[in-house]
Amino acid sequence: MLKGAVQPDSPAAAGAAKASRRKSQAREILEGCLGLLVVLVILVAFFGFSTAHFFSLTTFDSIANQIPTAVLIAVGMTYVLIIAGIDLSVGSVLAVSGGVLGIAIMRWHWPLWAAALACTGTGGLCGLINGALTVRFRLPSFIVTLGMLEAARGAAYLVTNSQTQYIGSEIAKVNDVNLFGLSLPFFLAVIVVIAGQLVLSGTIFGRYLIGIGTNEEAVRLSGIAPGPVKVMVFVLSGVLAGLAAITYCARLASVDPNAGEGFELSAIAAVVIGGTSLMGGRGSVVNSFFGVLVISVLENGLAQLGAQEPVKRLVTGAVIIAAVVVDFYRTRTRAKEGLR
Amino acid sequence: MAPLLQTEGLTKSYAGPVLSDVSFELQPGEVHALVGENGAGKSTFCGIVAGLRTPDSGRMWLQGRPYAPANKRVAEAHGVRIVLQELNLIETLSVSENLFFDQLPHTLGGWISRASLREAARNALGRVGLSELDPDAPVSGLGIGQKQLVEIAAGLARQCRLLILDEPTAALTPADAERLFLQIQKLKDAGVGIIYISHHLEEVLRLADRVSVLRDGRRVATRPRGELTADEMIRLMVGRALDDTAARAEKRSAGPVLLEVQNLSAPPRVREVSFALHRGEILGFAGLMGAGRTETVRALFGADPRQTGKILLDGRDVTAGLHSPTDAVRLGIGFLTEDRKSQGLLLDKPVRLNISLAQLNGDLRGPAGALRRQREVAAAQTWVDRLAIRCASIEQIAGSLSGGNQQKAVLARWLYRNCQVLICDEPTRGIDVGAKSEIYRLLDQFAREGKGVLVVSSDLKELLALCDRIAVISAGRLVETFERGKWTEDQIMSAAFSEMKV
Repeated sequence: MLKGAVQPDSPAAAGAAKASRRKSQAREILEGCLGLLVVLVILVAFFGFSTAHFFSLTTFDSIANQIPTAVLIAVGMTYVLIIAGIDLSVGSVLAVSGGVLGIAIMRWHWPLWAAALACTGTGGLCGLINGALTVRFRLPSFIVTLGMLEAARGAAYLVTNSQTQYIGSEIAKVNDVNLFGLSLPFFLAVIVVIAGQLVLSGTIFGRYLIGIGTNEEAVRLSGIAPGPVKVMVFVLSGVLAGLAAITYCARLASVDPNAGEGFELSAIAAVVIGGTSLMGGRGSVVNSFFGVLVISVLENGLAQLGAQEPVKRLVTGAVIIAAVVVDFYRTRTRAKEGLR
Repeated sequence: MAPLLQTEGLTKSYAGPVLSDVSFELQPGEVHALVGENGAGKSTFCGIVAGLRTPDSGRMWLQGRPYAPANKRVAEAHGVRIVLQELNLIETLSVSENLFFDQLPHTLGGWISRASLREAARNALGRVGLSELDPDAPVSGLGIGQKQLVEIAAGLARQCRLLILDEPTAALTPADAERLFLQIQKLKDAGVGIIYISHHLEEVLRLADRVSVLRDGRRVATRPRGELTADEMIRLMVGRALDDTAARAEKRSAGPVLLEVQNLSAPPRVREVSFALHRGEILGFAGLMGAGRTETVRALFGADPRQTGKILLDGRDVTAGLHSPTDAVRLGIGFLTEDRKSQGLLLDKPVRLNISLAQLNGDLRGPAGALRRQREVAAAQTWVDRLAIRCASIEQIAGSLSGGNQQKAVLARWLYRNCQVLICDEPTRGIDVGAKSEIYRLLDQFAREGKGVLVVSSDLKELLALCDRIAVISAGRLVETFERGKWTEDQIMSAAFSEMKV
């Protein structure tokens, strides 16, 4: 979690902080994402001045329509990383959930809402398997979800008959709902980010995540069973991958067995750019959102600069590493302040 | 002839003095035993000789030459070796690789010569009676006794003139121990000097040519074997003036039985332990390192599985509903762990989070699982004030507090949880004197409120000062319980050693 600026050696400051606790909590979150906002503004300004069409509705539109899928996955990934786990299966889970969505609509002729439910349910089920195996057999989630990455991909091929299938205008309607040029998935993603942050910083469950990621044994010996909490986190990650599948399929109006390949890595990249620790115990959903934005702006901007895929990947990679290095120094400074 | 090893005025302090002005002498071919209570400074002394630690002051000579090893490697170059009580084996490697890890036989190209390694390993293992053990077997599959033997074999396999054995028989069966004694005799005959640390006094009397007793970091006596009995050793080990804090504690009045434990077993360390804790009472668990005290309270708390045992709280049988720490906390039991850093604290989180942890699923749970933030802040502030935890604010990172204040923060967690039974495992380990007495005061106050405290401590002085009764655990059994006023330190130590006799 993010820490507010605490002035040590000053009882008055402590008292004031107590009084304006609620306000300072909002400020904490704001301060936490300030650095990312600055980076984002710089990026936008840079691309705005160095390309002809960056400040255009088209750019805005394409970013807004691209990110919901990535954002939904990143929110789940944030939770998983906070408990010091990892979920490599999200891309494949997205594909198999999307496949179920396709079947439900085309073969079973289910109404959209029921199909959507089956889709997120599939994601949740995959997450449940991930979580249950991780907790029950005390396996590293890296291994379990790596297995699921393969298994769910296989399932996606089975479900879709290994073919990309057009699922018709029904699903595309999801994307047609518009407000100021922003689609329904975009709003869904924003709502999930806000809810995700509220749960993280305002509920018992969120505090459990922080505790488990920091020192699971201390949490256990304080009378809190970490197992169910961890399972829940993987279920959430799966459900969000299922939701992401809906937005993905809606955008393309089809299901694709190869959907979501490599999404797990870009999600981890976004979350890490957002300052969430891979060691667990620390993270912010809002910042993960900005992390996704940074990557998206970067990719779109570079594309408009005429950069080819290799250069884009090179730069994105450098940004990820830079973000982690910056975070390392920030954490260390904070630790030093605590020691004062 | 110059002694093999001579030390003069060795002194070492960490938080407080651990070793003060220790002079010591070892002749070639001599077994010189070191005995003393937990924390008397035995391991520190040997660590200095073996180059694991450097003394704050004092000098050493090896065969008349000044000797000041900067590290273990230098000491080994001088032929000084230590076999530690804790196992230093690499679990994933084979027995032979572990035996010769720092001097693996290899060919010119850097390839390990398996054949000669195996050969050397067989030799080394044969000396400790492990000739049937496959040198290629992974260490992870060995039992603790075998591991200990492998560790000893590694020490014996090398050329040395001074060998330090720190509790070598702690995990050995009597037969294995006999084999070890045989090897010790051989080394002696070859002129190797041996420093031998053990809690097994019978063993010491059998093996040692001379015995030195350490107490509170000082060498209080050195006697030839013939002039010492086990009882005398115990008396020398504890024979300090009684601390005045013991006299100061006013009598608390014990109420009805709060917690009753019958036949608690959790093999291999806990065997049929039964005891009762009264309201308003502080009950201490004394015993030697590794006697099973921590294991006993962990099994009681549900942190480790137990095999048998019946647990009653306020006369009600709660055995069926107590299988995890979650159950224990719900029933009103709190547990201040032995190692607060790895098992107690959220080190890089604010004090506030550390205090509130056990109440998250209690007092702090709001509607729909919301966290009652304001209540949390208020409670944290209250407990910081009440326990006088020295921190800049409740937002200060717990890891940046002093040991004493860290411990108070964990204590605050359980006081805030309002538990009825508080289990404290080594509550003042690594804490300065001031914070110690504050924690004693808090525990005393807690007991006076009609609750019960269970204290596990390796510091007998602490138990004598704090407890109404002291139960002694030896080799996993609760052997005797002493009442305040009717105990002597000698009796308690004798009880602690009672199951250890070979």
